[in-house]
Amino acid sequence: MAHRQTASEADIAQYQVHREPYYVPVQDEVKLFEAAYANQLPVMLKGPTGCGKSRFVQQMAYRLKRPLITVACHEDITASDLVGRYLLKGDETIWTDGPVALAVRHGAICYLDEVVEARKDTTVVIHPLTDARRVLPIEKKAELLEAGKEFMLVISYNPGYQSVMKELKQSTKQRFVGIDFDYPPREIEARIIQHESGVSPEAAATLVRIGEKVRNLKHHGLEEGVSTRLLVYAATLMQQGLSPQTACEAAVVKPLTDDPEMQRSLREIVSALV
Amino acid sequence: MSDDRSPLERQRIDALAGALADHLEPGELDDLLGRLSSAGGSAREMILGLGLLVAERSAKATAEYLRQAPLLIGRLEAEEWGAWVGVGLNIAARSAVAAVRYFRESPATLAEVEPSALRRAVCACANRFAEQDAGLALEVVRQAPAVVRLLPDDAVGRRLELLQRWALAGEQLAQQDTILASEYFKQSAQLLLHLPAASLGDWAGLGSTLVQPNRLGKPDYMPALEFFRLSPEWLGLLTPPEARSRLLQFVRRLTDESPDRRVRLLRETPHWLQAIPSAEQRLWLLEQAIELSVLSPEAAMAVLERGGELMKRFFLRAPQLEEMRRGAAGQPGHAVEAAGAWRRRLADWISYGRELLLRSPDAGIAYFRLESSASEQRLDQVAGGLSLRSVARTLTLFAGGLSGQALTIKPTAEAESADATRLPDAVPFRQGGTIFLPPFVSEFGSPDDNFRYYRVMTAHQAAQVEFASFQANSDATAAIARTIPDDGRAGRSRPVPMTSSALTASADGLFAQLAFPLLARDLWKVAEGGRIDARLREAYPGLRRDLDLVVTYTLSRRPSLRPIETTVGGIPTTNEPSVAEQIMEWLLQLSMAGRTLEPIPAGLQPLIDQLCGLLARAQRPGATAADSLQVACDGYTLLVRRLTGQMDRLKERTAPTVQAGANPLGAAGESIGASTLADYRALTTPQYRGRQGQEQAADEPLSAQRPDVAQSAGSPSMAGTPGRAGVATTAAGVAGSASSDKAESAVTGARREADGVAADGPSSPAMFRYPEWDEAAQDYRLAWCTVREQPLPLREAADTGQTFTEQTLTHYYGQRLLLRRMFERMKPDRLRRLKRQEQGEEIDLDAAIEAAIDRRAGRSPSEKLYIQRDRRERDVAVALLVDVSGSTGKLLGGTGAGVQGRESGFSGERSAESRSIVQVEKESLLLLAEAVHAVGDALAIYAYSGDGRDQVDFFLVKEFDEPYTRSVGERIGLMTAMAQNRDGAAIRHAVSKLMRREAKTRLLIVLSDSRPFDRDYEGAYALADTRRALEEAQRHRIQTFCITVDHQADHYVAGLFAPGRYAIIDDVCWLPVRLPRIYQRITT
Repeated sequence: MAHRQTASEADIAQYQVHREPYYVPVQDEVKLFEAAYANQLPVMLKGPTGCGKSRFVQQMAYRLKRPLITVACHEDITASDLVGRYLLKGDETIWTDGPVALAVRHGAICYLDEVVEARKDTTVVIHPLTDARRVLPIEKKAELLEAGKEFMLVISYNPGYQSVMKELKQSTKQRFVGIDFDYPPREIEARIIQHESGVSPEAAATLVRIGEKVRNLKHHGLEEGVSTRLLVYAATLMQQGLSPQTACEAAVVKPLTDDPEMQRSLREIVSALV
Repeated sequence: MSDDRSPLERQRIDALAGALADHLEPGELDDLLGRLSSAGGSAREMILGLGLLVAERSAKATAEYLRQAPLLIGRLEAEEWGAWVGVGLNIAARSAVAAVRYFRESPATLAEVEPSALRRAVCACANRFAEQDAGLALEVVRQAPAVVRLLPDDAVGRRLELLQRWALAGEQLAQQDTILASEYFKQSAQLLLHLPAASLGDWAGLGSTLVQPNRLGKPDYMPALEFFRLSPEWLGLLTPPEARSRLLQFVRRLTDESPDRRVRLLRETPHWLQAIPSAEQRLWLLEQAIELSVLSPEAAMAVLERGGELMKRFFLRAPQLEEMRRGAAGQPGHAVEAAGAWRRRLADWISYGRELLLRSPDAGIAYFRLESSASEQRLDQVAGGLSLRSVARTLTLFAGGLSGQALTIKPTAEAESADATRLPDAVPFRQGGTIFLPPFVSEFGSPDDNFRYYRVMTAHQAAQVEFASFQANSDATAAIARTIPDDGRAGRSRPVPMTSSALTASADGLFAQLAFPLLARDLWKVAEGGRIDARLREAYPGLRRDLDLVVTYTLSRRPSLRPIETTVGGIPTTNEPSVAEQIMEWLLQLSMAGRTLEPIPAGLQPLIDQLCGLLARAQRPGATAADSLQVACDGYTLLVRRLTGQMDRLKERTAPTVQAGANPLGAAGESIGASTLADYRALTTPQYRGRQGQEQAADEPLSAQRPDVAQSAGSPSMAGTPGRAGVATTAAGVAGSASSDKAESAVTGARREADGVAADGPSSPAMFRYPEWDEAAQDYRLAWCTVREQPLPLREAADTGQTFTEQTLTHYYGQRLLLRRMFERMKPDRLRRLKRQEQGEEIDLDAAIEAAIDRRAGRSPSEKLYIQRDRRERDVAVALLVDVSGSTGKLLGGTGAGVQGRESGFSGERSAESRSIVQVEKESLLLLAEAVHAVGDALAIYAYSGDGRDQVDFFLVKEFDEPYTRSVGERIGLMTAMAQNRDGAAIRHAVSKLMRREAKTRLLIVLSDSRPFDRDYEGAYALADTRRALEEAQRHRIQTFCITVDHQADHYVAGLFAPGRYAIIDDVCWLPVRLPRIYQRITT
């Protein structure tokens, strides 16, 4: 379904990030992002799901004090969904900005999450924004929207799990500065889990170990390793008084796979570690 | 002499002389009479009187009688003479020659039969045959001594009874047929060597039922004669002896079976049962089979035939029972318990099969033939163990998760684990990226605990990878090597090979330099095993409890250190572990469990404490492989020094030369320890620890393991689990035969290149095993079919000039253009706009205006105001599976021509040629391939045929990834009618290939010309299996469609395919036209 709720000009303020999101830098991604922002370079975040890409963008929006407009991309998203369209309101047709146009107009950070999910012909509309021109042509209104210095385009995608059918086109890829993301190192991941859920350091460390072992099974039957997000969920459940086994069953085993044998293996790994 | 002759005697002599005048030499009578003189007067009168009776029948017989009679004087009692001569008289009535033979042979044999009661019985029996068949009577007399000798050494009354029974059985046979009776008497002594006399009745009875009319209506004696001649020998092979009569009774009861079959059963059963090592098991199984035969003789035979395998599989799963049985030989109480245990469990297995048999005979028989998965599962269940097969995938993933490497789990060779002398210890070991686990675990009572044992074994071996048992840098090893003082074996310059980075290689190299490499390696194993245990406990708190369980179990199974009494070559010897062996065993136990089974002598305590202190260093948190190597080296130095007290002194000597294998220190005669060190026998490694890398050195590094290989090989259960029936598992067993085919395919490959056709397929047939569905049994037959995937065999090109592709394409030129256009239109049009949609990227102006008008007019406007682009993508992968069985070689009749001509105006001369179904199929395929290529779908073409379940040939005409070129067309042209078609297996293989192809729509089109038919694959069975294979495809979300040119297909195809999922083409000539159209219909 198309994103219509993002449209109104008046409430750009709601995209402002007011409270600092919790984010622990792993490498020099913050510096890189800031440099890109300063020089109006679009950024591409690559990494598995749930490893902190979106959180990172939020953190950067907060730091740079820019509104953040996020579009979760999907297969049916169209160019109009991004740029804007005429809608019928009463007897009139009214132009409504899409999220990208909105961001360009207000100098916000536009974050296209999971961009490969969108169809290739759709992603082409962002091309003029990502080179030296930095414009967004709105054909239907015959308008050429120029991006200000503050506007920034960020896309994210997960190179690992999608099928070969859904690869980002070279012409799209090569317009971005790439920042690689992965699951954070052991200590940082433990810190994150602890912070987000409030569990004890020991419990967090155990969850991290479980995470590592489960991630070993990627490519061996698991499409994707367990995300930091799921580990945080598990920790949260544990903090609510559930046993580690139950918490991991609900937050790790069940979401990762439907294959009963794989589930059993995961369960064995969990029970070996707790 | 003549003086004492009575008048009666004289009178009889005269009468005899008269009767024999022409038959005796002059003076011969006197001579004969002279030899009678040893008998008393009245006896002589009797003998002569009997002679006169004989003379009435035959003079020649009388002469022979008179010649032989003296031999029996004193042997026969007076009243027996009458019986003896009576037989002769009766024989003589039929044949004088036979009577002569009787009188000539019988005295010698009769003389051997004692006591007289038995003799009389023999004569009585012979007498009954005498008139009917002299030969038979003679045979009785001939065989009697041997039979009597073999009768049990019992009371005369009992022996007589048995002898009479022997005779009676013969008589009964004789009533049926004298040939049989004669064979019976001839062979009965042989039989008595192996069977008690009481079984003679059964034996004869069985023999009598083996004569049945042959096709011409005449009795066929062959099976019966073979039976009498050879069955004593066959039965002799069977032990225990009581099994023989049971088998005889069993076979006798199978009256409905054909004679040939029964004879075969009798012949084969001893061989089959030979596969079972224990006599009591053989007997037990036989009894079970007999009991089962009431229900189903077929099932009983299956039990006997597969009995060896059954026992083998059972005891593989329940080694503890086997061990109990063997170990309990000397303890009757235990033996009874053990025997009770396996009997109970196997009886449970059999009774389950019996129930199955009642429900469905086929299912029961497949069960007893060990061919169904139910039978395997049930065996697992009754053995109380857990089979690796059922948990292999879980463990593979578990190991992969723990170690982060692609590890494969394989069962240890069955032969190895069946070897009872090596149980329970020497089973698994790691090798490269492979974890070897025993095929069954049943040491613990419950499946859960058995699984925990598997889990610990897997974790320990995976931890060897995780904690890098086999990797340490060579610098570390070299540094450690320098810390070992010279132990006298090597000279000053001890080269340590440092070429390999694998620690084992360098450690082994290092150990090899020492005087007692086995000791050093054991120390290292103990240290390393302890280190891994400690790391496991540290890293995996959840495993601690399981490890405790396994350690406790393992400890309880450690060998005793008490002297063991054994007999070597008949001489009893005491096998006492040496001091070093004892120390090592204690160290192992201490480092593993923290305690020992047997107390440590006070004298050794300080040394052991010291060594344990060293070992503890390897068990500290974070200890590395180098640490345990260091510990091993330090421990070695300490131990050797303390045991020999020599090392320091030796060091001062100038390089003593010591032969490898010789006792290096014993010659000095200064220490008791040294000699024990030289004879040091290595420890048996606890099962759960694996073999700790002995085999590692020879292997490729772990990183070189291909993950895909590891994954597919890691789950032997795949082919066996019904749910995964479509997944191929290249069975290890097939690999062997694959290599033997290599030579053959190499030749094919060479020829292919010579012919100039692209040689792009693999050169040797790849083997895949698939199960087959047994409808009657409602169960899969595991790994039943072998699919051999290979390129098409080459044929001599029949015609020159135009190739197949050119010919066909030229011929169907118009048709082809039409198809191309039609199919290109099927390409999805991305720009097509759908008007009046509820949502879309543009406003549909017409709709908007209408809506505005409606609103003004007060009507409720439509909400469909948008234009949407059609974004249906075509993502189709289609596999064409073509039946090229022999029936496709059938030539077409003339009727096709007219149809073809009418349909599309093809030239008449082509239709007039006699063409076969496969030719038409080929042309249709080519046209379809062209069309599919035009539409851009992924296409694969496979052909299949075969001969029996072990050879389902699967030919690769075009693979998905291969571009569509001319050579594909030429390969289609190579297809030719071959043998038979086992559709199920071919479909399963095609499905497994399709599953590897990613596409939104996956389609399998089967092009067939007849019903499935192969050896042992026909009728309802074949149809059910085919249907099952298609259902499996459906489960994998692969659409199936069948196009058949069998106009009788109505009868079966509707049961196989869903309505609308098949097309029957009554006349094959329509195929080239219809096929692409059908394709278009089902893919749009």
